[in-house]
Amino acid sequence: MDAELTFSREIGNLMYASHGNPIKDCLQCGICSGTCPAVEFMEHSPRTLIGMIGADLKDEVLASNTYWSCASCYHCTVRCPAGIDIADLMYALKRYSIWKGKHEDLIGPAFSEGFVKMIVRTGRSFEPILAPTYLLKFNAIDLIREAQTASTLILKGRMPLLPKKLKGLKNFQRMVKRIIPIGDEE
Amino acid sequence: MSEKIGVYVCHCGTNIAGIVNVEEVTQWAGSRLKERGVVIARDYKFMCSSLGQELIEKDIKELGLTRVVVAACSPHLHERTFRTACERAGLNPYLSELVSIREQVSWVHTDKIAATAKAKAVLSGGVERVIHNEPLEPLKVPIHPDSLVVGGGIAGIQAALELADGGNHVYLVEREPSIGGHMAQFDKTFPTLDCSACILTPRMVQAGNHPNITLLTWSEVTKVDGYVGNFEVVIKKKARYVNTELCTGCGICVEKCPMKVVDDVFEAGMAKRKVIYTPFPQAVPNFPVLDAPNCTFFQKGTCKACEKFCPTNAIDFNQKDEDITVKVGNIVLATGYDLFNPRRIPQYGYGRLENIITSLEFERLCNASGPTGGNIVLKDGVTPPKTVGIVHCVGSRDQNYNGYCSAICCMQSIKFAHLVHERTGAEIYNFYIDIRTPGKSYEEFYQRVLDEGTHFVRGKVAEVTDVARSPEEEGKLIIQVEDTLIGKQRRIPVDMVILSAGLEPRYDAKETGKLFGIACSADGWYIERHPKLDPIATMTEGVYIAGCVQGPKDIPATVAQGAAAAARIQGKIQQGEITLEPIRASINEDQCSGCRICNDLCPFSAILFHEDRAVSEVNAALCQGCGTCVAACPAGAISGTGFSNEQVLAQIEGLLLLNIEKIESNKVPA
Amino acid sequence: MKQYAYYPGCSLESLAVSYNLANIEVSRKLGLELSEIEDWNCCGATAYFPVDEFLAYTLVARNLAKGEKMGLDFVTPCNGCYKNAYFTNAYLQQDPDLAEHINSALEEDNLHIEGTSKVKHLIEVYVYDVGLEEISKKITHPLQGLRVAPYYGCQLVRPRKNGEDVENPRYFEDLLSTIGAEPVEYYSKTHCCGGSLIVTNRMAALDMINKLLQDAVKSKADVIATTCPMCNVNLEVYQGYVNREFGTDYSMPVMYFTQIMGLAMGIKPNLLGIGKELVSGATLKSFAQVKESG
Repeated sequence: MDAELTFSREIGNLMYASHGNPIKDCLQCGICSGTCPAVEFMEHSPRTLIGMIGADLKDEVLASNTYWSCASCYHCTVRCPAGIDIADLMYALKRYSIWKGKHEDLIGPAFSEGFVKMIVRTGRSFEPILAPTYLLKFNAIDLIREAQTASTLILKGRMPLLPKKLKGLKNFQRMVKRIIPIGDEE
Repeated sequence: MSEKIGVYVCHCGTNIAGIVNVEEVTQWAGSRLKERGVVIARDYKFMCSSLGQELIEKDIKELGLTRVVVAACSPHLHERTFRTACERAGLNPYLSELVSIREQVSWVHTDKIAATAKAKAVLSGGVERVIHNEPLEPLKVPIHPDSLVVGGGIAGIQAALELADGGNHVYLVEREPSIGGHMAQFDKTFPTLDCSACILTPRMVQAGNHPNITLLTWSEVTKVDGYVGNFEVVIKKKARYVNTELCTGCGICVEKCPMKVVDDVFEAGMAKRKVIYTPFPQAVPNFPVLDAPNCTFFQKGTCKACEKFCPTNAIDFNQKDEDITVKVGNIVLATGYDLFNPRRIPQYGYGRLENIITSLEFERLCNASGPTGGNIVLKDGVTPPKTVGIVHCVGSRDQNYNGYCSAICCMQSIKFAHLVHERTGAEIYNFYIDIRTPGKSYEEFYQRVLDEGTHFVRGKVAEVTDVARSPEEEGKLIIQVEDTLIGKQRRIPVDMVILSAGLEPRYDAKETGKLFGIACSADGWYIERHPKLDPIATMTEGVYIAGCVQGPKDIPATVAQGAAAAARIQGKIQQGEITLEPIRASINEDQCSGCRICNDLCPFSAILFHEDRAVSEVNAALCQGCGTCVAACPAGAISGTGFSNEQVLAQIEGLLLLNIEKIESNKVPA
Repeated sequence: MKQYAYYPGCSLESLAVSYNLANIEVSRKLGLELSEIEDWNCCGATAYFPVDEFLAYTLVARNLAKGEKMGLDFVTPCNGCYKNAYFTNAYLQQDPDLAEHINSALEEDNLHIEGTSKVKHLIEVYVYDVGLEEISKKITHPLQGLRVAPYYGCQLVRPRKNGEDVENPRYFEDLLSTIGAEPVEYYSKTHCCGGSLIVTNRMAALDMINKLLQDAVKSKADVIATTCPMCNVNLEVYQGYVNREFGTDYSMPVMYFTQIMGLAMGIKPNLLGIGKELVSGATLKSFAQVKESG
């Protein structure tokens, strides 16, 4: 029995709760990458990434932006002939990379974490709060465009100016703390 | 205890002796089981060797043994060996038992003390059981020398010819108007690139003319009764509406028929045929068949052109289906395969977009007697393609459709690449996951096609679409795939796409199997007796399988299986009678209440009901000794010979060491 | 009046407020009452799963539990909310350990989930619960000649739930035919709009949106019908961005399927929230004409 926890086994364990077959079933057929609509924006195709995990290339996998370019459209999952839930794997790798503090340069981690913090605070989503998580990475022209779009939406009545809060917020937050020990509000 | 039992414990090298203390078990049997009747207990390194067997034979002769128990490997392996040894020494072979202390003890346990104790218990079980064994005589049933071959493809033709050449009469039944099967549809066969019809038709003609073959085409088996050596089969000869005594095969009726319909059997939907037709020019027999549901006369009462023009008055609109009953000794099922329907993969565009065709459709396209005279052209019937994409693994190796590999598609796809290259100047792309070329000269064929310049892209095709994203894609079919060897998603525009669709069991394989008493696996292929050592026999004596009906395979393997089935049957016919295992169920008539619960439960349809006496009876020749009826009978009226209730219960008591003093539980063996 | 536990989702109160209006109007006309779940929370769309799986399930389960309390089928008009609710519900049913874990958290909010919910997307409620025949009876202004691209989006059809056809579903087309419109053969009808990539990897999303718009134009659609606020926003609000980035000049109207249904039922456009779009309204007005003359 191998006592050492290799990277591929670590990821395999992360996938334990996944509802597809283990990633070691991968044939490397490439249909996932042939299907993926975002593959051109990924450093490694989904298939390559699974190959890298199997080869225990931990650092390379954690440095790859592949899973943060995944839109979770599940097209790969339904076409995979080995029955692997690849989109779920991408979620698992997102969680893993946040845990390891990787990808500070990407918008994805900051956005997701910001989103969760917002929900824990209020229970409801309010777009303007999330702005700092990504606007800081935009250049001046893009910022101006965002502002234009936002004001048009406000004028059309599609952007509320104030966030909403749950009525039962206290219970809600207690519920959240039972799952994940998020500290007191900032 | 009046029985004299000999016990033999095998070491099997270190297979058993490495875990079980064989000497201890032997000693224990010799002393503790003495009061149960054991008069001699020996251990030996390899009981199955001739020396080992001689030990048994010697003891039977010299000690007058009346029962023998061998503790060794699984009965699947050597039950026959030890039974035969007993028989040689003059003891009825069914008075011996082989208990497994290998597969069931030494191979599955690591605790030596526990394993040794278990081996003792298992041996004790065998001893208790063998006391209740009765001498049995194997059943001998006569073998009818005629045989039935169902399916007139290359497998069936091979089997029929070998049987016929061996001097035995064969009924060859085929449901289409002509024999030939799928092989008749192909253009060239890999890897030799023989013209398929050229190598097949001589066999077909031979089969059609052979004095020992009764060819029954346009016919189907509707009922099978009986058992090995003595089957009674009802065959329905469907009405051809042509009197074959008068027909000369001149073909005028076909020429004059005004009605055309799509031929979706032989031409795979690529061409039309007349309503009265022969499927292809080299058809055997050459008698046409009238497709009544599409015939103007049968639908509206008019036309009758064929009758008018037939020079020998062979058209008979009053012909009816005819049932004939034949007696045969053995049956070969060689009914072949169906192609996976790529409509089940919508993203490949089959059936929605033009110029996407299946392997069989492409075979027809390539074939000189096909719809385009062998010209590889697009749907317009005129333009040759400039680029062709060939997709491997369509519907195979895929848990969403069929998980298995269809064995022949790689070679077939490579063959297609060669044919396209030979006849057009097209750029060719093959899209594969793995290249499977295991047969003789197969790898060399792949290398040849690589040399011809076909592009092999390793990637399972994601989509085939006509939606262009760039000017060079306009008006083309675009194959979207990841080229895994370079790690890039590619969109490759082509004019024509050939889908190498997988092989599937016939749509009615399950029903056909039931007719003959054989079962299908989860994938739908018929189950062979042993996947490695007996791929052509089934669990039903007298019924054999050959060709793709047992699983996807190429022509050499198919032919080999047809020949193997024939050889097996010839061996049986030559012996004149067949010996059947006497392990069977038997019904005690006095206890039978006539409830008939067992009748329908029997998976081999081996139980008959006698209406006059209101009791059921097991047909010993059909019975396979599965025990289902024994368990199900509410009156306990059914017992298994060689597997009686007494035997089973005794074995259980023996296993639990109930009939001897209990071994002290914490006694450490010496 | 058949009642449903209605989960609108966050965007229906902001970016997709017209969707909410249309849903309520059309449902009423079809004899359905959408009872909004009391004090529901955000379902997280694709933002929770990258952070913590259990939390994601818990946040969705809270809404499911509230729906269960109401004793009604859970219905949502948003693909993302639907996928989350459907699969959270399914996993809780299949995995008692997971259910126990989640329930121990839900206790804090006096909630408990049995897994008895049935989760449906609003379009499924119309097509399967109400039925196309019943819907056709309510069509007073069939949208003759209106070519609609039925955009299912990804999370409405995937992952597979019951072995159904995920590559070429036809129920949206059937619904559009029932209301008198002409559904076009929309190649990318189940392709992804990019979802939250519009924020986290804008170029990828714009590329995907470009392809969707391109295909709609190719199939000569007059409008793209959506079943999800995220899809709608990406296709519509960001259409200008696509034009700038790729040098295209799309002005393809994008409307919610209930807005189109509403028009066919003779409901006034402003009641359906029509007029709040960013993409040129000129073509929208021609819908209104089609409606009048129908």
